[in-house]
Order: sequence, then C-alpha cells, then structure tokens
Amino acid sequence: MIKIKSLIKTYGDQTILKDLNIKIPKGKKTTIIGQSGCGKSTLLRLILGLEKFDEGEIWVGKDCITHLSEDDLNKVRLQFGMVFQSAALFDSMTVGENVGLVLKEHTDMTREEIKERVIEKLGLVGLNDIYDAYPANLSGGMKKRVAFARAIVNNPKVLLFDEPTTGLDPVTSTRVENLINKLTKKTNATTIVVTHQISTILNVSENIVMIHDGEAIKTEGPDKILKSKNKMVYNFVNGLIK
Amino acid sequence: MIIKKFEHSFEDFGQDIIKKLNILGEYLIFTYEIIRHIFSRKLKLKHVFSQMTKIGVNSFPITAVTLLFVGMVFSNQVTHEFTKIGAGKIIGGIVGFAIWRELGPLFAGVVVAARVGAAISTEIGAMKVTEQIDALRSMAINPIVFLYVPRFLSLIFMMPLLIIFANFIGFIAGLGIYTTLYNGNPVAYIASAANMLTPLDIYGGVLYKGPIFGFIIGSFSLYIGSKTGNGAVGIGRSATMSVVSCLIVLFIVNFFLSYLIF
Ligand SMILES: Nc1ncnc2c1ncn2[C@@H]1O[C@H](COP(=O)(O)OP(=O)(O)OP(=O)(O)O)[C@@H](O)[C@H]1O
Ligand SMILES: [Mg+2]
Repeated sequence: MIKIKSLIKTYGDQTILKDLNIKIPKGKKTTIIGQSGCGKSTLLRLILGLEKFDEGEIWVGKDCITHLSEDDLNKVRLQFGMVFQSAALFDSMTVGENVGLVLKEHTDMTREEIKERVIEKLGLVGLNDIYDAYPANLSGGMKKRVAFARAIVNNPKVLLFDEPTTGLDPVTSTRVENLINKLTKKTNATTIVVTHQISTILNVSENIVMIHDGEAIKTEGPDKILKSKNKMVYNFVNGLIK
Repeated sequence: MIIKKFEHSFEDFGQDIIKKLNILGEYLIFTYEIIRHIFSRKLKLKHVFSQMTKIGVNSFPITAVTLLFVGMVFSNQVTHEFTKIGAGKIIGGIVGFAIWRELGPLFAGVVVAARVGAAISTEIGAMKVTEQIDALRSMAINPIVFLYVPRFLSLIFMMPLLIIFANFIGFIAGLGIYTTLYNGNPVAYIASAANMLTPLDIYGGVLYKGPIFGFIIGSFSLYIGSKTGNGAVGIGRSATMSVVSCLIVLFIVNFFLSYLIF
C-alpha cells in the first residue's frame, strides 16, 4: 500500500533519514518504533506530503507523491486520516465542527447529514454529549479520541497515528489501544502507528519497523520482539543503554 | 591579526545581509501567495465577514479612546499658541488637517497593529506550534485560503472604516477642547475646517493610507505568525516581533505616503 524507497531527509546539515526503505502492507497495522528524535513524526509528515524530502520516493497505492503539486497532493491526502501527536484540535471550533470540517469542505453533504455522521463517529470512539464542547474543556484522553473521530470521519483508506498513547495513564492507554484495534478492524484501513510505548507495540502491531540512525530495521512480530535477535531492537524494547 | 579580524566581521556582515535578504524574499513570496489565493473558489465570504467583525469589536473602542485624547492634546496646544498670535480663527482647519491627514490614520494604524496584528501573530503562531496548521493541510484544506486570506482582506477593508471613525472622534475631541477650555465658537471651528480642507484631505488618509496600512499589518503579522517555532516562547516572540515590525514599517510608509498624497 505504502512504499518508501531510499528516502533521504535533512534539516540543514543534519541528516534525519538516510536511505530509508519501508513497505507498509495493505490493511495491516504497522508500528514504527525508535528513539525520540529519530524522525518518526517526520516520516509521517513526509508521507502526507506536509514536507519535502531530499531524495527517494514515496508511493501511496499507485501514486508516487514525490513530485506532486499541492493540488494533486490534496487528492491523495483525502485518502488519509491523521492523528497528530498533540491531537491538534482546532481551538476556535467546537468538537462537532472539528470532526465535521473535512466533510463540510470536501463533500456536498448537508448540515444534517454531516451532524449525523459526526455523532456516529463520536459514538464510535465512546464520546457522547460533547458535540458542542470546545477542545479547551476536554481532558487529554478525550482530545485524543476526538482527534480519532476526526481522522476517521470520511472513512479514509489509511490511518496514521503519531504516538497515540504517549502521555496517557496506563488504563486510558489500553483503552486507546483497543480503540485503534476496533477502528482498524471495522474500517480495514491500512494503519501506521508511531510509538515508543511498549504496551502499544505489543497490543496493536501486526508488523513492526524500527528506525535507527535514519535507516529501517526489520524486526520480529509483537510476540517475539521482546526477545529480538537484533541487538539494537532488543536494547530498545528492553530499555537498555548499549 | 587585525586584518583577520576584519575579514571575519566582513564575512559575518555579508552573511547577515544574505539572511535578511532571504527573509525579505520569503515575505514577498508569502504575500504574493496570499494575493494569488484571494480569488480562490474555496474562499468563504462568511470567514471574511466574521474576521471583520472581530477586528471591529477589538479595535473601535481603543481607537475611540486613543483619538479622543490625541485630538484633545493637539487641539489644546494649537489653541493655546495660536490664540496668542491672534490666529484663533483657523484652529478648526489646523486640527482638521492634522487629524485627517496624519494623526487619525496613523494612530488608528498603531492601535490595529498593537491589537489586531499581535492577536493574528499569536493565533497563527499557536496554531502552527500545536500542529493545527498541519492538521488543516492533512485534511486537504489550504491554510492560505482558510486562515490567511480572510484575515488579510478584512484588515484591508476595516482599516479605512476605522480611520473614518478615528478622524471624527479626533476632530470632535479637538472641538470639545476649543469650546470648553478656550471658549471658542464651535461654528467658527467647523467653518474654518470646511474652508481649509480639500476633498483630498478628507479621503486621502482614508482611501489611500487605509488599505495600505491594512495590507502592511495583515501581511507582516500573518508572515511572522506562520514562521513561529519553539513552543510558547516562540509565540510570545512572534507577537512582539509582529507589533514592532508593523509599527516601524507603518511609520516609514506613512511618511512617504503623506509626501506623495498631499
Ligand atoms: N522543522 C524542523 N527543523 C529542524 N529540525 C527539525 C524540524 N523538525 C524536526 N526536526 C529534527 O528532526 C529530528 C526528528 O524529529 P521528529 O519529530 O521526527 O522525531 P520523533 O522521532 O518523532 O521524536 P519523538 O519521539 O520525540 O516525537 C529531531 O532531531 C528534530 O530536532
Ligand atoms: Mg514525534
């Protein structure tokens, strides 16, 4: 579904990703792990075309997004639902407006149809009666879930989650992990979860890629990763300093 | 030794210039992009109007207070000195000139730069550092059309209205001082203004300075807001930088506009 070929990304004279190769299988949940600052968020931003990269190719389905204009990128972006690390809800809009915005901007749906869909999606993430609330009045976990509802509202083919459980308590964290599993099962979306939380790695992944030193390392699945044969991976998931 | 030192400072100087030119280029491209998107089919007039009300609500009261006192001090000084030399009859005209040509437009600009410019930089800066701008783009919504153009246009439309309002307040405040503190004749004040002011004096500040001031405040505050980095510190820095640069450019441009218009 998504192919990343020999990707190079630099910021100034700092090379973040060097020769990164990843294949994200269709309809599966892939987690991307790696140390803070290794470029995980950057990779998601590159996949969405929010930033340009130096060299390499990114393929989304049959589209190579490397040289697309902003207008053509927008067509590709509508296949994605993205949950940002900070939830990134629009402060000036209500929860309902946040979730419904993409439908309002890009479909001919009526106000009532949009509202119905928004309430359905909010229900799916377990949020009722906050349609008219403002993001500032929600807890961190609720914000995350609103961001989920916003990401799935137009039934995207690909879901991207940037550290969906970081900063949440263990119980809320498990809830969010279950929610990711439920949503992807329901929608069959190709899913990428960026995380460095062990519980999320174990509960969510079907396929794990580790980024280290700007390159991708293939790893075992969630059942064996804690005993990984690769030293880098082993050290990382067990929190060892090399 | 000394030559080496010179070489170094020369290099630094060169690099500094290149950096500044880079920023200027970026600003020009940014502004061009905004202008290019004014005619986008996706632009919603509703967004422009809601920004216009926001700017109005924010600015009319402070403009009123500012121009009230600017008109008062100016009229006080002029009346005081001019009556001494027996030129009391032309005070309405003098105050009118000063307010309509310079003080009304400039102080309205200062108020808007401080109030609205800072607010725009802060709002856009906060949206930038909390990934809201990226969120918009990820939803295939162009932030230029959705956020920047409505703010930019509403400043260009609202600035002339604010200046008209500012001019009236300033002129009337001057009249107030003239009649109450100096027992001046209100009819004479207004008659002298009507005699001395030409139509250009009346609309020059409003129609020429107004939109240009709006353009300056809009493009600078949006550009600086959109470049915000570094979390909460960055947002504060953007607000300050936006006000400072808007004011400086406003004062400089105002001088040349006055020179050209009047
Ligand atoms: N706009 C930018 N300009 C310069 N450097 C940047 C920029 N964005 C990110 N970086 C740098 O790129 C590197 C990777 O950042 P990124 O946010 O992708 O890391 P991450 O793996 O998501 O980390 P975390 O787990 O802490 O979220 C970091 O060293 C960061 O400092
Ligand atoms: Mg990150």
